[in-house]
Amino acid sequence: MNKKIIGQSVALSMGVALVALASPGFAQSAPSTSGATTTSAPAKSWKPKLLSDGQPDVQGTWTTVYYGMGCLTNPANGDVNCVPPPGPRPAPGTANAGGPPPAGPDGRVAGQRGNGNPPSIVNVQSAPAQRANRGQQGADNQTADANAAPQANGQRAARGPRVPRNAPSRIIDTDNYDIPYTPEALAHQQDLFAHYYAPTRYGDIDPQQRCWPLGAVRQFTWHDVSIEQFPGYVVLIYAGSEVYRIIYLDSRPHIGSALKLWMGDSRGHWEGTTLVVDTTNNNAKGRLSRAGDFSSDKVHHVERFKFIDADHFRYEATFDDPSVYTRPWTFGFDEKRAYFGGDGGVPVAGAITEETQAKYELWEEACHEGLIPGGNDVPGLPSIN
Amino acid sequence: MTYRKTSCFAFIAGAVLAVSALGQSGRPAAIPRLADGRPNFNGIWQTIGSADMDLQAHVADRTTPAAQSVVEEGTIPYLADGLKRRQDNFDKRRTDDPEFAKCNLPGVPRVTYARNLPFQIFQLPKGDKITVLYEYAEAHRFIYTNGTSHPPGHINWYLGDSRGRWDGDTLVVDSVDFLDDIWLDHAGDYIDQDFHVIERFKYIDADHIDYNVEIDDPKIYSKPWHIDLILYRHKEKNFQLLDYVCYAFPIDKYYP
Repeated sequence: MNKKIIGQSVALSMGVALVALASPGFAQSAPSTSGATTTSAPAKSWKPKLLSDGQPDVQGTWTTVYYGMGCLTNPANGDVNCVPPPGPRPAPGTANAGGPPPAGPDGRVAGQRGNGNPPSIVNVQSAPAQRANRGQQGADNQTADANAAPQANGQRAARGPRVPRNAPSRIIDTDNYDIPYTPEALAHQQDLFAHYYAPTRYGDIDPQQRCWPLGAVRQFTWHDVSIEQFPGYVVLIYAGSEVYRIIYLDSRPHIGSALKLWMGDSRGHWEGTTLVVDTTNNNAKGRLSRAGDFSSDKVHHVERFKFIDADHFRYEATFDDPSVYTRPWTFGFDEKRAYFGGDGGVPVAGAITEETQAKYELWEEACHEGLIPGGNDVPGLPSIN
Repeated sequence: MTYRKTSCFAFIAGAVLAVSALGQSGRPAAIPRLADGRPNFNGIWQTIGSADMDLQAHVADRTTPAAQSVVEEGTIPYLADGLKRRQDNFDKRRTDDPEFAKCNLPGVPRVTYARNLPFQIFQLPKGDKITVLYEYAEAHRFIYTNGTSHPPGHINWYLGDSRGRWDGDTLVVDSVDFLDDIWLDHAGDYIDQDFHVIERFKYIDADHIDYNVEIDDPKIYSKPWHIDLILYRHKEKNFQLLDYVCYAFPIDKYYP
């Protein structure tokens, strides 16, 4: 892959940072005791343009409010791993190297299993803590604004207000904001995680490191998604790899249960401005995070894309899989429309106008098995033939 | 590698269909059109035949049925050096074919006939672009039809940069910006970075598209040459794309 192309995802994040300026209140939504529905109520005033087949027009490129698939329970902007179980550690110099973070005042460590960030976490930080976070612009700082593309003169674009480092757990409806694994499944997750950086057996290497599809849900935690709509279809095309989803709106039955797909088999319908998608036939080859989180190929998702206004939607997906979890749970996060300055497929820092937005093109980023020796962060990833 | 054994039979059936559609009326068949009057290529399409194995006439071997050439000129007009490299590629095809051995994205036009897998065209009236989704490796292409030109500079892409325009009822797609590690088939026919390809999509009738491809690279070929294939529309009830996430190793062994 050409480095020119790799640069695009960095530049995309620049667009994210600029959007944060335009809507500073979104990522840090108001505190909520219920948490799960913080931003899910559609704005009553929003009347979307309707397409020829009656679908609300939600076309365009969208981006997660916080990236990262290292840790579902304690995500940060960028990518930080959960606290790993005893075992091999990331090699020095790799993206997630280093020991676990220090324990907080409550004696618990962020990223520890069973200690998911509550929905209100971005709001409970004290001013000193936020200042301390702002000071974390060193090696572990991978937030959206830190990813900003250098300008031609080598300097980064001006930054907006720094987004707090911690983000709510992506698990939104369990008591500890963690995945309710059965004991056997928890042991499997810990085992997968322990071997993440030092694979010793077949199947230890996260398929993400092979550039394979991430699965219907995890794909949203990584890079942007372009939504295209056609009569009878919603098509999701993802940046950062060659992968897409076709969501069929024509009430056809699911494909046969013996068929298993990386991105599952999706049937959708619109309920007002919410796209409800029933997704089955997951092959479960993909994991849910770099921490070994997983579901089985029996998992049944109901995904809801709750479009709140022209620039925001809340994504929630249920995980119903009794073979792995003690109860169904819900994965949730917020997405916002991506805005692009620059010229066509080369988004750069600069004024965002209707023209630059219209000219943006999603360019090929062929993350592809066999092309990336070492994968993204597993050093010396062995090639297999 | 598994090649669909039904290809030969399906090819015969498809050919019969295509011929009868033209032969009965003697007039051009009615074709689907969008509200803007353009031919409506929406649908799921698939090639039939052996182009992915060898574009030119070839005998059968362990993995490949025999087939006639799909090169309009019969053979590819290689320059001497190009022919030598093609032969080298052929000798090493089991290990070096970027598609079969490495599962790379196969470039244009090979993505159209790679392993004879289906692909779906999404087209809107007066749309800025046409989106094509392929079952092969979950690949996608955007064919921009908004009058824009190729971006500046050479960019190394597997599937190139595609800009389309209409010539009457023919969709003409011009693509450049390719990597230099792309083969046109398993037999070692190849391109390099200066490759320039023009695809022409033209309806034969409502369910068949004539897919004509002009290939030009003066460093490899003595003159431009052409591939001609027919794209067949899938009409099975509820037919849909699945995924073929190509694996360059035994997936079942490594990811049980």
